[in-house]
Amino acid sequence: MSTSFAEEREFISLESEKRDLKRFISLSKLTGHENLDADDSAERYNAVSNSDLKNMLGIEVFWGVVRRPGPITAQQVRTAPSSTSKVVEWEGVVESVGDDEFACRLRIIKGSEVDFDEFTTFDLDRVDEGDRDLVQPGALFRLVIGFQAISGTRQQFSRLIFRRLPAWNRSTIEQARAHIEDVFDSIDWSDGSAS
Amino acid sequence: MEIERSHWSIVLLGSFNPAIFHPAWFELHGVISKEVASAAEVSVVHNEISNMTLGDIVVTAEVGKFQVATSNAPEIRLLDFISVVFGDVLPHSKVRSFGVNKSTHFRAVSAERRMEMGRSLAPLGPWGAFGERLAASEGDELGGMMSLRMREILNDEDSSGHFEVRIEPSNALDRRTGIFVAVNRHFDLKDDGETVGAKAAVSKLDQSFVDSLEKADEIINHFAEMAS
Repeated sequence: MSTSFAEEREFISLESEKRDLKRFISLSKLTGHENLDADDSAERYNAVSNSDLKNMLGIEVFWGVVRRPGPITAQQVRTAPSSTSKVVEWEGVVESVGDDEFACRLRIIKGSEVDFDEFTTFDLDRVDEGDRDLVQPGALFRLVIGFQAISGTRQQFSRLIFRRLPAWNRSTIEQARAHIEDVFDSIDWSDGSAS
Repeated sequence: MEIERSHWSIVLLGSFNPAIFHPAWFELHGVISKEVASAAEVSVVHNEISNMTLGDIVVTAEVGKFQVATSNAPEIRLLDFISVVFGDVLPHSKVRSFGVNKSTHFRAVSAERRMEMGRSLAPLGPWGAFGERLAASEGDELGGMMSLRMREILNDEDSSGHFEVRIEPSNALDRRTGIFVAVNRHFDLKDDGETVGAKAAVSKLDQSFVDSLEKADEIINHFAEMAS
């Protein structure tokens, strides 16, 4: 099975078979009884075993209709908002938090040749309401300024996104501490002392 | 040449339980905020497949595959999403392979330039009489390259894998000048008997995510320059 994203033209199913998947699949279509929709009896539905449907769909079916994600169409690609290549991105670290704003240090990630840290403040209003509890000293965020294509038009946008990172656990801290000790021990100190 | 549309995704292959993946579950574990969870669009949550849109991240879970995708920067959110779900919450899930993907759509400066690119990437000479007919085609009946994939094999001490690039015409932007480039950096994790589990995959993903996307941008920008 491939780890490439299922693009417009194909969808890799559970058995790695290419299937022409529909967003909405009716039982009559699955069973090939499209012309017999008038005879929509429970008996006809029950005549189709779940195993037959599983073979067709690649998934178990418990209802008459199954919805599953379809491949992305060209129309969806065209109309969905999408970042263009003209994007400048910084990683920020919160230094202190006030009542209405927070101070931070910014380091460029891409889109600019600037190679020094910048210091600034942002209003807390710029942070999504659901992410405000993440605004703590030491928290990381990304600031992105660029252009976005939406349904054929370009719009400038600016986003401030706080990162939801894994929590530090004891083993990770111990690994980091051991790594620092290794580095420290490997240094050839000028006074010849050991760590 | 400006990239007009970008799309990023991370795909994990292994063993998953799609039925547990629901906006409320992601919120419970701090992967998304309450606001994003309450506005989530759920297509299906089922024993065999779950699919939902959380903000601008689309999550699809199948029994053998888990993927997150977005079309909006910053794409680092995909790495954070996977790191929390499989590094913190489900570290013992089986993950045997993963892929980092980027795809883009852009326009060639002209239809002629796009055809030149196609002809240089897939010369018609080796195609014999069929190639001669393609060479003679023109206008609305112009024929040529429809899809080309190139793969570089990449192995290291804890994984085997590849870097694959696919280039095709894109109908999403313009039928005559649109170009689509998709890049897949694939990793098969080596099983040393101890590191089986999502934690090893997340660690490898964390080390390779930025580098994989930088290499993807390198080839995408190369094609974008060819098209300008």
